[in-house]
Amino acid sequence: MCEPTTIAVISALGSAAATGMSMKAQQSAVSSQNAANNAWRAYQQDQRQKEGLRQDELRGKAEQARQQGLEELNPQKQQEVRAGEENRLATEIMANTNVNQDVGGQLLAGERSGGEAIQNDFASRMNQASSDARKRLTALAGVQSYGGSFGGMKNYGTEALARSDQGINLANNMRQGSLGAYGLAKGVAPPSQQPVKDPYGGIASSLAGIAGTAFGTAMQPGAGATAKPLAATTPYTAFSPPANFGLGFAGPSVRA
Amino acid sequence: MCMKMSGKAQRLQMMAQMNQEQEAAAQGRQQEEQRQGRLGEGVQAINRLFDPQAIGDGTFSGFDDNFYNNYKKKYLDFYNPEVDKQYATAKERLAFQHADAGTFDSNTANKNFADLTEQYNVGKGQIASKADTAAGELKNQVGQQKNALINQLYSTENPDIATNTALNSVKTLQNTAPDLQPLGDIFKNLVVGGASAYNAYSNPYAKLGNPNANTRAGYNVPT
Repeated sequence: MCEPTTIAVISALGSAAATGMSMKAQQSAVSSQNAANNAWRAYQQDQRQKEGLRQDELRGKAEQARQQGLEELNPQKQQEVRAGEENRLATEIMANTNVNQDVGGQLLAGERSGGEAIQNDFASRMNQASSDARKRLTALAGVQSYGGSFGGMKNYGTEALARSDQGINLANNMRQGSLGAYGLAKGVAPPSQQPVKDPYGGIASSLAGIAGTAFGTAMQPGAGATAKPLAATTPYTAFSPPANFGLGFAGPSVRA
Repeated sequence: MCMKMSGKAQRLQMMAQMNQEQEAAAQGRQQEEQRQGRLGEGVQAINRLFDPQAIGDGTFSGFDDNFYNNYKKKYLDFYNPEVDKQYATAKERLAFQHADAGTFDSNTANKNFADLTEQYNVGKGQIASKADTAAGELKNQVGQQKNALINQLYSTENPDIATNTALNSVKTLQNTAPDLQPLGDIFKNLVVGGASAYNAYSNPYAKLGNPNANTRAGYNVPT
């Protein structure tokens, strides 16, 4: 049998060592948790940054398409386009007629007889007719240029909007898809350690208990260098009923 | 010792779990990039088929100006001969009517021929304008078809399907013929009789149908 003091000292030392080990294990766990957290944070930051760049780029493309649409539909630009279309259409329309030919001399050549006065009158009327037709056809080209002619405002506006829409829609579609993929990265959970039983903590606690008991025994009054068997020791009468107001506890006078 | 092993194992397990999730996310990103690639490829294929662009031999493919000019030409080739024919008939009828009325060489005949010519030119101009509008409508239709194909591509995300559908659409559009309706009578009947009456009223020498009339051959204007 060991001395209680020796047991107390050994247990205390063991408990201290176990506590140290427990602390070290905890520190190690905290450290690895921190490292994992840092890695997760860095990953999330990297993903966020990359997604931000992707979104910016796609937003830029959509914005570019929108700007292009706005430029094409700018009132001044539209007016220029319409004026150009009016000229183009007038030329195209006139090309299908004889208004620019010397109709007075050619169109009905040989069909007119009569004197000079009649022929002069005929030429004059024919030129006037051509001039009137030109005016009407120019007006027609002007009207059509506002509407559904080949390059008229209706088609021009529809095409400009369609081009712009296509660019915006494609970029938006890609943005949505990219956000979906980013959602997966965002969903990567931060790593967390599973709590495990710490054996060192239990050992330290047990040893501390033993040390306490042994220390208490060693410090017990009467406990000397020679230990007495428990049965041989003075009955623990310190708390005898008479001395203790009938409550089963004795005062020092009784012990003495 | 036991705890140390457990900590390491746990750390490894933790990192492995995170790596697995990161790999899943990376796979999702890769799939999204592939999807975007497919979209881009499909849009390019549709654009290649629809938009005018120069090809190797210096010619153009897609719906270029030539395509629309040919369409206009079909339209004009159908209507122009009809207008020319109607004009020739009207002119002939007018000449006969004036000849019958004895006013062939007259200011009235000049006026009527000039009016007829103006109607002819305006008529031809209107035909050209309608041909241009028809080509514009076709262009609009081409644009709508292209939009529909791109929207379909967004749904299927399959460039092969988009390309095949686009090819079919292009073939259909290329064979589109103008909606040609019979041309009505575009020349008004010039009322030669009425004109002759006016002529007779305003010109005392134009006593038509009266053999004793003091007319001078070829002239019905006062001299």
